[in-house]
Parts: sequence; C-alpha cells; structure tokens
Amino acid sequence: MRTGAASRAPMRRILVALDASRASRAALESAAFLAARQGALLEGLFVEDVDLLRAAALPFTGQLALPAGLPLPSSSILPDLQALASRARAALEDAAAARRLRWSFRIARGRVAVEVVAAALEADLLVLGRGRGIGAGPSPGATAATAAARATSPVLVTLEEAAEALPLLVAWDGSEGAEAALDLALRLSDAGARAPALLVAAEGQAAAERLAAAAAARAGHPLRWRWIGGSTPGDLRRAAPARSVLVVGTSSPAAGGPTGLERLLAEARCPVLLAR
Amino acid sequence: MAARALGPDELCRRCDGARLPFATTAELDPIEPPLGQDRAEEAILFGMGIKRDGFNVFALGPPGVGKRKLVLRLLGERARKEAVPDDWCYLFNFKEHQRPVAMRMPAGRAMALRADMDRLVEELRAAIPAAFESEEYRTRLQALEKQFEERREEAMRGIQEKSRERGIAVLRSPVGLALAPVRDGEVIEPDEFRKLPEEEQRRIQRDVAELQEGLAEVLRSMPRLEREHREAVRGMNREVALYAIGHLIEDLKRRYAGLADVLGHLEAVQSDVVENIHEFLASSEPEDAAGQVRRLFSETPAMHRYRVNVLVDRSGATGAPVVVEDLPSHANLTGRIEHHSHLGTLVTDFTLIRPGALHRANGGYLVLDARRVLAQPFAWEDLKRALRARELRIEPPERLLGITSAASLEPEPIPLEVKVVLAGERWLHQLLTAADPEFAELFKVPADFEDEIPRDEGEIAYARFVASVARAERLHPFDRGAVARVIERGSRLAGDGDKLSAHLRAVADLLREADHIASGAGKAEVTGADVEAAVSAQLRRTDRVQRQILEAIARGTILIDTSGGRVGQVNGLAVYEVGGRAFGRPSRITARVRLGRGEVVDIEREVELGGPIHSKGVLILSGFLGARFAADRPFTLSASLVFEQSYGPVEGDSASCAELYALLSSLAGLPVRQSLAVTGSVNQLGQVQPIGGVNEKIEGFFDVCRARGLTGEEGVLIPAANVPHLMLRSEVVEAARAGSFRVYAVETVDEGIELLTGVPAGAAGADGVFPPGTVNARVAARLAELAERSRAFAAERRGPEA
Repeated sequence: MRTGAASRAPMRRILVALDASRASRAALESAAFLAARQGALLEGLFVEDVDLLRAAALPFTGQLALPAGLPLPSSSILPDLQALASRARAALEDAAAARRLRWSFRIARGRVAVEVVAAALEADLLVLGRGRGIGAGPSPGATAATAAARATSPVLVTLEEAAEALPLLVAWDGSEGAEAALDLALRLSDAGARAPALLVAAEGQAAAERLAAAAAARAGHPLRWRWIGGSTPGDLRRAAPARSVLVVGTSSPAAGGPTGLERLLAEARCPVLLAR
Repeated sequence: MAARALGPDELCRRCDGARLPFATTAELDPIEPPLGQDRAEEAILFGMGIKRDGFNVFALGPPGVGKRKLVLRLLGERARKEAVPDDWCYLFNFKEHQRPVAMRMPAGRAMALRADMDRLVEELRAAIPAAFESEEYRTRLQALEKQFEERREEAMRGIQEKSRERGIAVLRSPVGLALAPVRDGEVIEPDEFRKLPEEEQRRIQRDVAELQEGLAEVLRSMPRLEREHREAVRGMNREVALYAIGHLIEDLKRRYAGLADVLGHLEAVQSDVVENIHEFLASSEPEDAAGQVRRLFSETPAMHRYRVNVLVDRSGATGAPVVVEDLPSHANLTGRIEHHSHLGTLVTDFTLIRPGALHRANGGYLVLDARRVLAQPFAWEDLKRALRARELRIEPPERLLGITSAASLEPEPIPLEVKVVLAGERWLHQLLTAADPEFAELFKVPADFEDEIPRDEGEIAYARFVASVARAERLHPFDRGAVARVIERGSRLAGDGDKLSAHLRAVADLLREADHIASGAGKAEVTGADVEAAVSAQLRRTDRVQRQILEAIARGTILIDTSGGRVGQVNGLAVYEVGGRAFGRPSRITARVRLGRGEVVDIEREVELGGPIHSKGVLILSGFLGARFAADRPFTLSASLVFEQSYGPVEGDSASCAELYALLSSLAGLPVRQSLAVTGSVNQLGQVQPIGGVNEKIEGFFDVCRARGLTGEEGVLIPAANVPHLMLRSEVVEAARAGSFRVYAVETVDEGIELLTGVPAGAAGADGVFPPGTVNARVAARLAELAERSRAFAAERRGPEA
C-alpha cells in the first residue's frame, strides 16, 4: 500500500495537447483551470503529424475536405498545420492570460501519440481532449485514447465541454490502482476543490461499507460514497454521470487492462482522470 | 292706433310662489333630467331599436341640455335587457406570425382560457423536461446515436478495409482526410516511394486515386446519414413530446368541447410545442451564450406564443355594454398595438394588442362627443371606416400615413356590431351633413334636443328638477319662493316668458350657488332672496365690459342723449355677447338726407362693417319710403345712415325701425325724443317686427337712464310681438310701476314716430294726401320739394327747350 500524503504535493507542470479542435479547446480550459488551482506551469504541445507531412510530400496524394468531401491538394497540409499551431498557441496564450498563468508552448514533429507521451514524462498531469471521429476513421479521440493509455503520468481526458469544477468520482475497489486514483483525486481537491466521492465496487453492501471506511481512513476524513456493484469498465461508464469526472487507477481491475482502458476512454460520457 | 305703454305686470311674467303646491322641494319627487325632450327621446329609442346599417344616432343640441344624461339613461335601460355579447381575444397565428388570430368566445370564457393556457405552459415546462430526462428517453437516444455511429462506421469500414488491404492509410489532416501508402505502420517517405518499382508506384497511385474516390463518395453520403439521424431523433422527440403533453391538451379539449375555434387552436399549440420542444428543454438547463442570443432575437419566445390576449372580457357582465369614451383618439377608439424596447429596437407581438372603445362596446352601444372625435387625428375616419365595414381593424397611424415603419402586426379584423351615439352641437351636425357625404349614411337618426320647454307644463317639472339636484347634491331644500325665482330665471334664460330654458346645467349651477349663499347665511332652506342674490352675483361676475360701456356713456365718451329732442337722431339698441354674457347698450343712429337718386346709403355696409341682414334691413327702408311717399313721382332722396361710434361689425335688422325713425325725423325736420330708445325691425309695409334680445336691450337703456336719474320721460319702444318675451329685471319692473320708466309696445312705424316726435303720423286720405301738419305730410312735402328741385336742376342742366 502506498502512502497518500507524499503524493499530495501541488502539481508543478501540467501539459496540454493542443490541436485547435473543439475537444482540444475544452482540454485547454480544463488544464488552465487546474494549473491555476495548483499554481502549476501550463505547457502547451502541438504535434505536427509526421505521417501527414510525408503524405503531403507524395506527389499523387490529395485530401478530402470535411464534411462534404471536396478534393483539396495535399500541398496545403503543411500551411494548414502551421496555421493550426498558431491558433493553438493563441488560444493557450489567451487562457493563460485570463488566469495569469505561467505558460510555455512547443511544437513537436513526429507521431502524435508518441510525442505527447514523451512530452508528458516530465509533467505532473497530461490533459487531452477526446473528440468525435468520422466513423471508424482516424480521429483525435483514438489518438487521445492511445496516448492516455501509454503515458506514464496521470492523464485527464476531457470531452468537448471543459471539465472545470465538476465533482470527482473515484472508482474505488481498495486496490493499489484505486489508491492511486484516490490520492490523485485528493491531491487535486486539496487545492480547494470539492472533496471527491467514491463509486465503490464491492460484492455486497457490507463489503462496500468496509471499503468506504478504508478510503476515508486513507483520506483522513469521511468521504461520500455510492455502491455500484460490479467493477467492470461498463459498470463505471454507467455509474458516472455526464457532469462529473471519473477518476480511475490504470492498474485497478476497474480499468480492465489496456483494452478496457481504451474502450472506457472512447465511450465514457464524462471526462476521465487516469491515475498511475 | 297709438303705441301702448306696458303695465308693470307685462314686463315680467312672475311666478307666484304661493301658487306652487308645495312648501319646499323636500316634498317633491325627483325627476330624471332632461326635461321636455320627448322628440329626442323618441329618436334615440328608435335609433337603438332599429337593427339596420347606418341607423346610428346624432344627439344634437346646445351644451347643458342633458344630451348625454338622456342618452345614457335610455341606453342603460335598454342594454340591461339585452344579451351579454361574446368575449374576444387574440391568439398567436402559427401559420402567419404577423397576423394574429381573433377568436370569439362565450362571455366570460376568454379569461378562463387564458388562465388554462398559462397553466398549460407551466405544466409543459415541467412535463417536457421530465419526459426528456427520463432514463427511457436517454436509452432510446443512445440507441439512435449508436445506430447512427454504426451506420457511419459501416459506411467507412469498406473504405478502411480496402485501404488496409492495399497498404493505404486514412489520415486526419487539419481540414479533412488524406490517403497515403504505409509501410510498417508509417507513411512511406517520398524518397522510399521513388525507390519502389515503377509498377508498384503506379499501382499505389491507382489505389490511392480509387480509394480517394470511394472515400469522397462515402463522405458525400454522410450528410444524408446525419439528416436521417436528425429526422429519427426529431421523430422520437415528437413521439416523446406528444406522450408528455397529449393528456394535458386533451384535458383542455374536453373543457372546451363545442368551441371549434378553441379546439383548433389547441391542435395548433400541440403541433407547435412538438416542433419547438427544444425551447422547453432549454429553459430547464443553464443556457449557453448562443442560446441566450437565440432567445433574445427570437420574434415570439416560446411559451409566449401560447398565451391568450383577452381583448374583451365580459365576465360578470349583465346586458349589453354601454361604453363612453371621453378621449376618442385613434388608439382609444379602434385599439392599438403597443411595442416594447428590445435590444434597442421596438418590437411587438400579439400580446401587445390593446382594445379600443369600439372593442369594448361591440355588441352594445358607444357614446362619443362629436367635437372630440373630430378633434382627434384619424379618429373620425377610423370610426366611419369601422361602421361602414362593420369590422374592427387595428391600423397603426404610421401605416395610415404611409410612413415606413418597423414590421408590425396585422391583427385579423373583428366583426363589429355596435350602435354609436354621437353627441354634439347643432352646428356640428349641420357641418358634417354639409361637408361629409358619409355622415348622413352612417348617422341616420338625428335626436334634436329642445332649447326651451313650455312654461305652463314645465313649472312643476322645473320644481322637481330643483328637488332632484338638491337631493342628489345634498343641497338645502328650496322653498316655494326660491323655486319661483328659479322658474323666472329659467324663463329669462330662455328669453321668453312663456318658455323655460332647457339648459339645465346653468340652472343646476344657479341652485348650487343659491345653496352656497343660503348656507353662508346659516339658513335651513334656500329662499327666493338667495336665488336672486345668486343671479345678481352671476351677473356681477361677468359685467366688467358692460360697466365700462356704462361708464363711457356717463362720462360722455360714448355720446348718448337721454333727454331733449334731436332731428335725425335716434337711440338704437344693440346686444353684445362677451364671454357668454349678453347685455344691451344704446347706440346712436343718425340719418342725413339730401337731393339724390333715391338711395339710402348704409355707411356700415360701405365700410364693410355691416352684415348682410343689416344691409337688407336698410334696403327695406328704401322700399318702404319709395312705396309710401314716391309711388307716383321720382324718389330723389339720398340718405345716409350710420351707427355712431360703432367700430365693429353690425349685424341684424333689429335697428331698422330706429333707422327709419331717424330718416323720417330728418325728412320731416321733427326732433326725436332722446329719452326714448327703439328696437325692432320693419318691413316694407311699415309693420314693426319682433327681434331677439329684447330684455337685454331694454335693460341696457334702463341702466344708462338710471345712472343719469330717471325723470319719468325715459322708455323703450319694442315690437308688440316681443311682449310675451319680456322677463325684465325687478328694478325695471319697479321703475315702470313707479311711472319712472316705460316700455311701449309698437305695431307700426306710425305708432312709433308719433311717440318719438309727439306729432301725429297721419294717414293718407283717399286722394293719397296726408293730413297737413302730420309727420307723413311733412315727409311727403319734403320729398316733393326734393323731387321738384331735382326736376328744376335737371332742366337747368339740359338748357331751355326748343
């Protein structure tokens, strides 16, 4: 069992992955909100997808504009990416100025998930937006899920709405992963946010009460909790309402391993905060 | 026949209080004013009863005769027995927003519908979000979204699989999707690609082109899928909404069963709610900025559309309405559309339609003051248009003027069935009849009010009127002496001893003033002396100009002789009216004659101060003189007549007698007694005809003479036909009784000239010759002399005959 107190120090660096999409803007708002709470540096990262750049360099490729599918030359991809980066930087600058944050912005070139995961090594928290894709096609959502699953730092995956001031619901089964989730939730809420509540996965009511008591002991104060029965990713998805943030330990059974985690991230109705 | 000096009892028809069959008015039953207006009453009843177009009533008569009182009493009595007309309301028009729908409902039900619709909206605000937040709804919505996702995925899957099979990746670019060949999960670098065998390169290029076309096809199908998804969601929403609101609407339909219009409206409301369900959902959740802006700019916010604007509510009414509109402006008459400021512009909707008096009177009666209607811009035309078309259409004034205005409403016209009673003076009726051809078509029933009522039958009615006012206004009772003075005053106001004034407002004011005086003296009853004091006070309050004139005469600024004799100079009498107060004053009339061509020059006319009736009177003098004295010889007179010291217009022929006397005096060379004044008009036969204002004229001369001291010589010659009109002040009557002032009734010019000159007038004998020494003989001689001179003068000019 880890001790919670040591890991409750304020965060110093919060990294947000930007691509100027609606989901990315929501992620930026959430990251700025948390950075202000924690007094952390807000770092923005824009990744120029190397695969796209290669595609643009091939003489015969083109692109189809969404949503109507109008053909466009692939030569516009690079300027489009640069324009997107400028907009992302401007948005970061505005968000930071609004909250008087320290901030930095960086453009990386490579594969999106790889670059994001690499950049997050130094960060206390990685914030990503999960957008809607086009059918089964490549989407920021899929990229976000991949990056979130691979990152070593805690990751907050937001939806298209900012996750400011939403209640934190910790998936709690008493496992080591759940402890990490609770610690992370407490760490975020120490800075003035609402105390987290528990979604307790246990075989029965009595077991749930025991687990809740253990969590309260770990937190050092009583916690509100709700017994949700099973602890599969599906149970969690159903139990967490849209206007909340679900906090899950990646190594807890509730995460369902890498596949379950990816699915949880892709299908959750609410933002998900992954604790390591 | 000589002019007759009237006895004091003939100068004023007194009312003997002792003969009145009561001690005080406390014993009398009150009477509803007005008095003696049977003809007008009959006309009003006829106008109300006849159910034909255009039979509206114009109650015409002077102010204060009780037009409005009578109209309201008769209308009230009739309206009570009639059915209560329907309510009217305006509703939102779901098909044409700019044209609100007018709806008729049985009396009293419109307010109930309004309350029901307000309640419905409240219930919808709760029921609809509840239905849409239910787990069942969410589950169904998720299922639809999943189905949509699957369809999108299905559409993409083919391309994706084909791409994967051919080693092509579908990449997300900043603006869309791109296809590129991959190797080991990464897009091939251009250099590597060029190293591939040409055949391979061509294949890849072909595959990319083919896949790109397929992908474009798929993307083009996406909007259709999205549309179908939206339709499916909308259909489900509709179904859920119908489920949520259906029973609420059904409840209302049951309550208003039989009212087809209401049922139709409820159907429309149901459809609209279903179509605009998002507006109910938005209100239950915190609104985003875009939603707020949308709501701010929406023409008629949801919920607002379902309200009922009750224009006319007959709840609790008994009988048909009788509406009096004292400010008949365009808006107050036909209604208006109000606006409110919204984001800096003026906007309106059907709930801001306000009714006018015609709406409120619809199915009943509307009473208006004609003068006020005519004074208000558009009001008269509006009223006529509504009566002509038999419908009420609310038109903003700017539209009537053709001025461009912001988009406004065109409310559906409301059928109009109303009787309008216009009240106004006679001249307004005459003016409208002459100037507006539509007037006679729309106001076919004149209710002509009397100015006077017969005194013989009216005395007791007057007494009861005094009792009515005293009782209604808590005045002291009037004793019989006071009532007698009121009756006398009524006759004086009518200007006729045989009549009583129908201007009851003036009489009521006199009663109030007399009561005030009696109260001040601490009396329990109002007496005749109080009434007389009130009359005197009324006169004194308005006699400033009259006093000034009297003073000017006394100081010799205005030259009036009241003693001695003067040739060609007669005291005429004129009536002036200043601020509603009439008074008489003497005016010196002079005549000068000379040789001429048979014309009497009216100097007033020459300087355009004489009116046509005055000029006519002067021309009649020529006719009289010519016929009597120059029937068989040339009329070689030239005479000039003038109202001395008159600087304003002179109208009327009441001075023609005085002018003739001045002429005769001048021709006969006989002085006229200046202690007498004359009034009366004369015809070509020398008969004296009655005039108006006889009382004021006599009193005017009396005041001048009294100021100088009455000697017993002073008096006034009046037409004998005016004797019944005499209602002179008590001072004049008493002076006559004492023999110090006389009023003479004169029937012919000869009677008058005899009295004025003291010389017999003289009647022509069978030979046409007047007796020597008479006035007429002297006049004839003078005219003969003038004719002779004229002839001699003419002969002189022609020279000796050959």
